[in-house]
Amino acid sequence: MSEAERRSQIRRALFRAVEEVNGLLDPGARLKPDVSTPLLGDGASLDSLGLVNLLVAAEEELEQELGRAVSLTSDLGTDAAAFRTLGSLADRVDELVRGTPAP
Amino acid sequence: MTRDGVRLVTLADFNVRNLDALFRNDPDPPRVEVVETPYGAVAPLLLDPDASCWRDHPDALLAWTRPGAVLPSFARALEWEAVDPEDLLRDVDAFASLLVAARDRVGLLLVPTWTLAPTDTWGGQLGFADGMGPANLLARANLHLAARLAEVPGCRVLEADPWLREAGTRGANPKHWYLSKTAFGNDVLKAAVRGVKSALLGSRGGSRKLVAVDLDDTLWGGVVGEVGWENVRLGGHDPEGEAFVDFQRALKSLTRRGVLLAIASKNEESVALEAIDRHPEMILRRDDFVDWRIDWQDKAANLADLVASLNLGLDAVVFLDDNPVERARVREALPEVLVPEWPEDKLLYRSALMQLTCFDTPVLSDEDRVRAASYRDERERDALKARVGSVDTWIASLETTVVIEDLGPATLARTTQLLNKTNQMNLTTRRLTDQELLAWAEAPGRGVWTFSVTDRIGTLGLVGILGLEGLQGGPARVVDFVLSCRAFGRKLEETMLALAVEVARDRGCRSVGAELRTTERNGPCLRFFRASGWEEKPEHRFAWETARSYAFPTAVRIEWQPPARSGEQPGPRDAVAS
Repeated sequence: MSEAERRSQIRRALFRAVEEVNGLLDPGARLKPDVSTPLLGDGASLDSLGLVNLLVAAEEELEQELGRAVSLTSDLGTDAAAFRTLGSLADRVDELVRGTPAP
Repeated sequence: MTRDGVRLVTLADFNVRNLDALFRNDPDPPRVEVVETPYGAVAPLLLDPDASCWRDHPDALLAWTRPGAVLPSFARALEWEAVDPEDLLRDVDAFASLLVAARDRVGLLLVPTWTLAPTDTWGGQLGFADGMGPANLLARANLHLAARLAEVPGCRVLEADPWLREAGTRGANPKHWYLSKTAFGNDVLKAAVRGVKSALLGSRGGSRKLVAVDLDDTLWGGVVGEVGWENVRLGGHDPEGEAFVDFQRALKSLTRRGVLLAIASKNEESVALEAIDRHPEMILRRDDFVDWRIDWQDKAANLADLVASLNLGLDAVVFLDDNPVERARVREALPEVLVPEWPEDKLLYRSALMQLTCFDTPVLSDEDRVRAASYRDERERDALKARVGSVDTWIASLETTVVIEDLGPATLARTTQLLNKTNQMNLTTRRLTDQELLAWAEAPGRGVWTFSVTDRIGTLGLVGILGLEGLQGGPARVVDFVLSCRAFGRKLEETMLALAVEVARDRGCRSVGAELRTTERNGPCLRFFRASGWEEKPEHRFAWETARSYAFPTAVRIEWQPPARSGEQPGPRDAVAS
């Protein structure tokens, strides 16, 4: 599988997770399926339960899409930068899938 | 509660914020306004009548708990300590007592059955071991809880296992639990929202009452007009044939829950009815259908006509058709009718039907079980009516007997059901739970009477309700004047007014009044009152001076035992008029 295909799969899974979590959010707080969408910090609309919901949904969707388990919740509290935006989360997933840290 | 909005308290020993959010965002009726509570405070809140969540008497409480959290002996059983099953039942009693204590603070109490999480049990040979295995003990606990709460008016136990089955492997995620104390996955919570909403609607008479079905490729495979009844796919050693038989069985089972069946099909009527009558593997026969429109006319128009002839509202109807064009046509023309998407694969018909939650009702009365037969009897009565001359002659020929009774435990469930589902002959269209109705009837100066009808063709069961207030000297007022559409025009209406006048006079009231609260549906009630002889006043108010008697109809036989007055022995008032 090419890098582009893998990144496309990751993005697809994360956007499905966003769709799932949006069903739990008020209309004004829903997330855009876009890599620039903030998850933590300025402009973010998720509270702590919302972030847990997103990560649990993302893990389930990634397992279905990639056919392997990816643990994101273990990074909670230790790697805030990975959860800054949907794009940074996708990068973190890609790192985990490749099994090597980003340069 | 209105038909559109419900205030619901959600109380749980786990985090239900996701459930609350799903209730808020779900577009289907009824709209739910959630009264949130902190999780893990089940017992303190149930014990505290002054807690803010009970303010303004919410419409309903959903009390959802995990068995290991509220039943100490079950928590021990989960860790394979030896547990005396009697201790478990005592724990269930204690929890049920907490629920009962809070019962009066809400209109309706909804309690999902306890379930086991996948991580709660090892399963295997000991999982259901008698008196020991967690699954065995949990079944006992649920049975005991259901028996205890069955005695509590306005309390419903909801079967939660289907919610977990529907969610499959995504029913629960340990990470959700450890990170947020959320016990169930969103798919379980979405199923719970549907289940709770159908219970809320069903408790107020909002369940669907009629299923209108197509025939070709819906009840059987193939086009009967093309291949003949001998060659349609139905039964036999054929997966599709078996699937059609099972689908028909599921429809037949609905008739035993009070749901009516009808046919709306584009076909030659004689050809279609021959198939229904003669095919040896048909489960549904002609008598299972209360009516049909089998011709080449527009299905939406036919369906509207059929529903009107049954005196039902379109919002009581479900339409099932394999043809997406016909479904779209009915959806567009009759938006109140529920037209579910239907699978192309015939093997999925039964499961599609079983997923519909719109038939949920809180009770199953004797009237429900025989409703289809009752409509057949009505056709026979109509045929008789066509043969005889006047209405009085027709009613007398039916040898109708009306039994009038005070509202009591034996009739409470059916009375509440009738009150909540009747729209046309309904003076005020108020909706109450059984407990609310009983409390209303038992207040000083009030009374509720029920009217049950039999005739020589069959029984109509309990079809009428009269509720009066102001009976402590008056003026008396009719609050509930409710009659099933199956009993219209049978002199029941006049019988109910005559009773109102007699009771009011007996209690020293000089007059009895009635004020009609207009709805889109209760035009028949207004027309009856205008023709009743009662004096009409502005704004749909009517009155009768009790110095004048209002005669009981002579064409029906009435059995009524009025309460004894002081110094008088009670006795049956049999055949007031015969």
